[in-house]
Amino acid sequence: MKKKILFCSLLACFGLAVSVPYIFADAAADAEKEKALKNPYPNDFGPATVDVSKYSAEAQAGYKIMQDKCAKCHAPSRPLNSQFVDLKADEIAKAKVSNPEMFKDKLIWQVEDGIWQRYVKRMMAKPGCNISSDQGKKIWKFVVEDSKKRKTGANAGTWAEHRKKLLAEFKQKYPARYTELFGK
Amino acid sequence: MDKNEFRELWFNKLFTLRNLFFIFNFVVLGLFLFAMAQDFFREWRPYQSHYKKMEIARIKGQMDQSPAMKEALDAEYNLAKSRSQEIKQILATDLNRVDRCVTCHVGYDSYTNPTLVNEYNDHPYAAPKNEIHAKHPVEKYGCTVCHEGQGLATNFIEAGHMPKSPEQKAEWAQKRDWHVVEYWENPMNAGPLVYASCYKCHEAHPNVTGVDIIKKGKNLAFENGCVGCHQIRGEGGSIAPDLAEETAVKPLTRIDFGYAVSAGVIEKHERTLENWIRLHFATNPAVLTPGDPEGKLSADPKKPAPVAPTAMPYFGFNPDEVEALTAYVMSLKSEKNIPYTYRVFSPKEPEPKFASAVQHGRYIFQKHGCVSCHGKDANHGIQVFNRQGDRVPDLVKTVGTYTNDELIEKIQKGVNPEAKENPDGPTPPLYMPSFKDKIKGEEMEHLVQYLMSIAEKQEAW
Repeated sequence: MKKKILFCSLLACFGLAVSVPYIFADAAADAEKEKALKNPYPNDFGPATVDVSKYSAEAQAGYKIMQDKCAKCHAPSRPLNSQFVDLKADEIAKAKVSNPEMFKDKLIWQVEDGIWQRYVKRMMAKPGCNISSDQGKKIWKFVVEDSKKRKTGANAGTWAEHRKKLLAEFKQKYPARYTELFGK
Repeated sequence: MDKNEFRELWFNKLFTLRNLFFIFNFVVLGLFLFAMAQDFFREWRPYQSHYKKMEIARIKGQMDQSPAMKEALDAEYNLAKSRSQEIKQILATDLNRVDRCVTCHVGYDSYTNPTLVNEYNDHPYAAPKNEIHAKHPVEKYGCTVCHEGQGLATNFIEAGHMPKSPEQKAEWAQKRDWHVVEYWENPMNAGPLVYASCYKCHEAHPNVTGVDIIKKGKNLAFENGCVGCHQIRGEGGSIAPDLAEETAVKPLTRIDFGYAVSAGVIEKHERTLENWIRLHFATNPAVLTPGDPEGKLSADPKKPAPVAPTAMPYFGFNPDEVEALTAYVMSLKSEKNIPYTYRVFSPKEPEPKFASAVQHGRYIFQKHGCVSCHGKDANHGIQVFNRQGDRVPDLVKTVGTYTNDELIEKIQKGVNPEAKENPDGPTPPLYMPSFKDKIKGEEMEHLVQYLMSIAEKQEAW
């Protein structure tokens, strides 16, 4: 019996010794994340990766650059979970007929011709941003293609659900920031 | 010598009551003579006696030249001869001033020099000979309300005299052992800096020659957008101290000259408010207020609280510009207890008219101090400690990526706080303030038009 107790105690100590660094490492990572998220957006709480295996080669290259370069200032989840959808004028006209829902709530879908181009260029113009024009263009190609694939067509419903969930959780967790960003 | 013999000698022979009486009498006499001698050699006496001699010689000369005038000049001659040496003071009660400057500056004393006119050119004998003095008689205004300094003092150094130039400073230091009066808050405004005092009473620029330096300083402050960060009597940015309510009246005890002294940009004995203001334009302000970027001075070393250096950039002003800006900031000092009857009010200067919306927009860009951070042509953002990217954006590069509405929203909201480059470093000392309540309607519209007009053309993808 005594041997069993001794064995269990040793096992518990070993387990504790192994897990403690991980617990603290997680806490440190959380603290870092918390610091970075001092002025968060709902987008920041969505996934930071997407499956790009079925995207064009240029978009896949853009995805890789985005994961590396954009993460210098904010998590990749910020553009990946954004409401922006960049459609050409004729595409917008078609979408208005096929999916009028997309034009009802700008917090779910913000559909504009050239919106991603403006934002990518804006980020590139920030001091200290070392994204070249070629890299920026690839990032832009990715975000435009990604928006179309995941936010429109057959995936529009899933996107709306995902985006609504992000907004609801954000509002609950950061009510003041939510009001600051979106008003009521 | 035994005890009894010592007592006998000490108390009954040396320090008897009679001897003590004489000793203390001599001591009192000595002190009395010392006081008389000290008073006799007061620094101001030779000025009065020299002036008296000059006046007697002048009147006598006139009498000798025209004997017919002798009788008429007799009274003046007798008056000059009968002048006694004394401390003279002006009680400008309305202005809370007791100024003894005329004790040495006898040419300015209407008792000694009733017409306030004389032919002497030497300081301190020359009579006041300009329009400003004519309009501000010393009997009513005193001296220090305009010139500053220590009115009650009766010697050169304590009066708070300040040199006009480095050459004069070296000369004074050699001849008079001159130094700044420590802890005297208001040393004299030397040279053209005296015009800074005009604004205590005159709201607008009085039309006199010397005021040009203040106008130049005001223009420089406008062109460089000081109000982007600083307020002036409540109007302007909220990032840095109010130049009128805080900077121009800052008590010396609240100024930490330590870094400036250790960096060698100022001598320990030159710690004056005027120099503190001047150094902000003459050197890199980060030398004066370097902060504590690594938190080494934090109360708890285990929880460092880093502090960024000042956000004020180095503008690289030339010496004339430095003087003009110093004079302008000094001119913002106000004295609240000057009666309203002394003040000269003026309507607010009208805004200039512009031929186009873009020109007006550029004016708005300057008026609200945007130039201080984004550069005079919006093409050169200043460095900001620990700001992500280390610099303020160059607007010519960024504004083209905004729609008009997005730009308006950005200007209205601002960015506060700015993101940090190093998350463990101090909060960046500068942020884009919200202009929601300051730039509205047509001003906002024209500002956006100006910004869009200078935006770099974006390559279409």
